[in-house]
Amino acid sequence: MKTHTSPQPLVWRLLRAHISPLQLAAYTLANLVGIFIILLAFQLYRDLSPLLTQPDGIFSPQYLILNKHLTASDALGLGSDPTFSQDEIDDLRRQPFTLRIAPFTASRYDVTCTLSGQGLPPISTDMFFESVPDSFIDTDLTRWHFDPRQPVVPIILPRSYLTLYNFGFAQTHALPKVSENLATMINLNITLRGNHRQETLQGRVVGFTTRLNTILVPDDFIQWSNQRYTQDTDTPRPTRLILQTDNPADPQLAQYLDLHHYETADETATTSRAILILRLLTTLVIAVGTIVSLLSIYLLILSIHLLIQKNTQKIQTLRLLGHTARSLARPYQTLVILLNILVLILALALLISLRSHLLHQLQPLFPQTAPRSLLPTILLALLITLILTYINIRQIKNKIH
Amino acid sequence: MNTIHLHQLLPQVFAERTDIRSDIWNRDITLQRGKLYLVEAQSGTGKTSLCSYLYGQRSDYQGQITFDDTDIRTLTPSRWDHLRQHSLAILFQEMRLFPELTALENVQIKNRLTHFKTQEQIEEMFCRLHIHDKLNTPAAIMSLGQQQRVALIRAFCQPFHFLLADEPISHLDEDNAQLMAQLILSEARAQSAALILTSIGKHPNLPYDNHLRL
Repeated sequence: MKTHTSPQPLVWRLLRAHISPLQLAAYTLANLVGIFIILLAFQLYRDLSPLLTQPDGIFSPQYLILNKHLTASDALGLGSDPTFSQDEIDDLRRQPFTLRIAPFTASRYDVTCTLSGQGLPPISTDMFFESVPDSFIDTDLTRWHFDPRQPVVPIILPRSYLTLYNFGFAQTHALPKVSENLATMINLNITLRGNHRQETLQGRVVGFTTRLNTILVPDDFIQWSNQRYTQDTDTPRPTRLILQTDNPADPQLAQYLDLHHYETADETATTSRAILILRLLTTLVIAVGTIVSLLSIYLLILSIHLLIQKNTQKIQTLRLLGHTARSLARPYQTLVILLNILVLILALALLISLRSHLLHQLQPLFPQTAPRSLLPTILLALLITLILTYINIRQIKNKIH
Repeated sequence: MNTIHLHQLLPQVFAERTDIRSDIWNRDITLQRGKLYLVEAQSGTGKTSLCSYLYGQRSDYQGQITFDDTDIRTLTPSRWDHLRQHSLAILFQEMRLFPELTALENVQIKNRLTHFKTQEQIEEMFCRLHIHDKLNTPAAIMSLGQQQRVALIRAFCQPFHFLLADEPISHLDEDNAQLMAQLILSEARAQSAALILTSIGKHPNLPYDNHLRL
């Protein structure tokens, strides 16, 4: 003979009749897909947008690098002079958008750089140096100076060089990839030749920039080395200028540059376009996720509606026997709460695993960034689950009375 | 709950009729706790409607029903829940057992709500009504007479001041009807409850205080 079991199972045995596992599975799957899409879009937006908006670390976006527009005839030495005259510089200085302006100073001797260390093959290349006044550099200036008594040359490289190495060279030559951190630890031997001297100094990469395609060294090093390795005392006219402006998007500035055929690395515009596209895509994806989620809610609402409809007779009898509406609604509510928690856990698990996979893929592209926290996404997931569950619970409550 | 008053009570479907001669419809009567009422009726005179009104299932009536001076139209659903657990017991004419549950489970589904009877007391009632061998039989495969007895036992699994029994012996033979009548009487007396028993002719032999013709 059956003895004591709690009252709930008996009631549940009655109420669970007509529950369709298929409908519940369909709801779980649809809801999982919907929530997963929303969370993924949200998290990826959070992960990717700082990569695009991230300050360069070397140059603030207020700094523009100007050079003259080069044409084919310039290359043949027939066209206009690619250097800036003092008048041109002075004219720029007088413009209302200019806060400060300074020319780039180039090295006037031969430089050969040899790379050595940590499992890398010896790589040697000719190169050149340029400098701008230290006040234009947004980096830790304690590392950005040159002392002839301890000759180590701090160097800022274009980030594209590293990317070129990692994805072009290292990939095809089966060499290890180099992160930015690792790059700052590699020793560079820099051989300087000129004025009947040849000396080798230590070089050290201190940072990377995306704003400038040159190899940057401290101004005091350029002054010192140009004196030491050249006899020529004239400074040649600069080909590039660095300009600080309070508003890089100033139309006056754009007009002036157009008029004088000056070019600027159009970094900010590209970035803002990329951000806009990213935002648009994210919105679109979140909208799709929301629609899928709403459809899944609708599916659950229909399923519950049907279920309760099919069990109306029993629910009515149980109500007449004195079972409260709340106690009869509770098993259904528990069911949707459990389902929604299951969906929450699955969605987060999927998100976390897919994201770590994506981050792994993206890491070499943006080695300098730490991944953003998952917490806001988890909170968003909780919020969605809470809202969903609230809607479900209300609906069940309204159906059983 | 000690009294039920019916003030000019009339089912709405009878509103147009002028030929109503009844001891209940369109009258003022008071049903007292502790008394036994037999409501005799022809079919179609609103016997089940009366039970439905008193049990709060329907309210398509004119006039007023009060429980101890409270108009039952003003009772909240949770108040009804309380009444159905503590004051009002019913034996539905159509029994309303759950076919997928066994006889015992059909009783337990009520008793676990109220914890009013012990397992032994329940089994004893099964014995008294000669359906002890059906304890674990699904209600679906029980005869109507057996179902009627299970439904009665279920009705007793709560404290009550009024017991509504809508044609309680319609499916029973004479002997079983007598056993049932004894049980109804002893349970009603034990709780000093009133019995409101409806019948369309066949009714158990009990010391009724009042015969009402519907």
